[in-house]
Amino acid sequence: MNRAQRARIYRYIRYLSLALFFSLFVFGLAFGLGTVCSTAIFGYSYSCPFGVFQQTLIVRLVTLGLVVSALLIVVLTLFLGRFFCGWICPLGAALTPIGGLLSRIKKQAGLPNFLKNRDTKYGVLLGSVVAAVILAFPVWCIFCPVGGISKIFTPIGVAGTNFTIAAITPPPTTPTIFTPTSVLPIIGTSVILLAVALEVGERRAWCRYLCPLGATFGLLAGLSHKIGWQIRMPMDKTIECGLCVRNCPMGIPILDQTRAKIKADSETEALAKKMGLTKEQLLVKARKEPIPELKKIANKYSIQSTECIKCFTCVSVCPIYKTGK
Amino acid sequence: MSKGMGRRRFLALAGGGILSFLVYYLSDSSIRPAGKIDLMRPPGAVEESAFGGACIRCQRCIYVCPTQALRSATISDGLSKVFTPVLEGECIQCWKCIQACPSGALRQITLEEYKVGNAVLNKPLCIKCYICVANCPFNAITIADDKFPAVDAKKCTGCRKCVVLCPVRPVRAITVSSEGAKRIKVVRII
Repeated sequence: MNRAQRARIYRYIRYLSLALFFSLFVFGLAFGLGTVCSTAIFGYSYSCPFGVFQQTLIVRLVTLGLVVSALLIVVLTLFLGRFFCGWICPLGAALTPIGGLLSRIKKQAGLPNFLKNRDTKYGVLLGSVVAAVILAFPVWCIFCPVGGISKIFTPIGVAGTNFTIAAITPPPTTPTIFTPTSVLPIIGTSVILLAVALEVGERRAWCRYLCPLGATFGLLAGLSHKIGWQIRMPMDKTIECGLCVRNCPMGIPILDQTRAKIKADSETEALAKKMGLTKEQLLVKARKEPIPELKKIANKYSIQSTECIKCFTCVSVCPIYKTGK
Repeated sequence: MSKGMGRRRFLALAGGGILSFLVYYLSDSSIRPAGKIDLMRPPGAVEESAFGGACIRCQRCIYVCPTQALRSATISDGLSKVFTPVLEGECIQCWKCIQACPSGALRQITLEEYKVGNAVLNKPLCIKCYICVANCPFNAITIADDKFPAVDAKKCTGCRKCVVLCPVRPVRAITVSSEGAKRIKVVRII
């Protein structure tokens, strides 16, 4: 089995994982497990790190159990980058088939340029944290489409009615079993719709440009870029077909990015000088014959871990990996 | 190029930050309930001023409640209350919501400390069926001299069993308000 086939299997496992977590967060609630904000599985709690961060800033006190429950995802993120977005996130699970289909039938409209800035999400993160501290409640959690999508079936009233009706007629004497008649508050629904609308423009546009949760995981991944596990671009073997770039759901310019990093490396310059070539010539030459020294340099540079969601799409479509090795 | 990139980055950070802050701030000031809304909280809740910040809105208490007594607050309760639990059915003091709460917004209490509200009788509506008197788990409702049920505020815990059982429709003759609820004080260090 070659690497592309293995990556294909990882991809299917990923789809399975997304489906599993989606059903756990959206439907599993009925069994008292929890939402993506906090879930109890096998008697242990797992909480959303961003929610916990906001809560800690607001109460100005470390709630030990809560912080510990967020640690698992934090530690995993330090090692695996934004794996949460690609493997767990219920919004990502909802967006994946939409964006996948739209991109396959080539119906994606593209987005205006001012929206296409990956730094915006860090701005949203900053704004959310400041607003949470000033307004003294976790504001983002009310807007969050990730949490929102897993709260779709939360009963708003016991009878499944909205507040005004419930205020006039208190709940019935017989307790109702799980009532999926309730709807999200208008805010949560509209942010979910915004994320879906952006998906029509670009695949996972919400996750790329706006999601503060993704920004939190991105910051954590950036912290541990050196020790974390990353997918690397085989810069010494590439035929620069650009299939990985075109298929990347996060739209990372994998090829340009890695090439720029290798070019900027001082070791590349030294190597080119030693071989009597310019840097461009060295990279062209590397395509025809393996240069172990260049491979060593290339191996230092992985796909930007603050953006990569570890979906294995690039590896599974790579023609180099498909044809062997 | 690097200077241009720096400016773009700054613009994105500042733009995203300021815009999102404005959205939060404006929606918070525009989405407020018209009058004072009387929200009953689950047992063991910290005081209302701290509750909104301590709760991470995970809905776990709502889903574990065996009597489905809790509902999620909506924007008609104000933006700051959205997704927080509101007690609306009958509380049977099983403390499952407290055990489910990961955030410390609900804290363990004993039965002696349990008081989530106070029952109030609406005399003009009462049909004197005495179902509330017979069923009150704390024996807080007795029959007064005027033959109407009378609530002993000292014994009443606000468990809402009387509200759930009251047969009068559409508005029940007995209601429970959150006034007089014992809430856990939060000590602020900073």
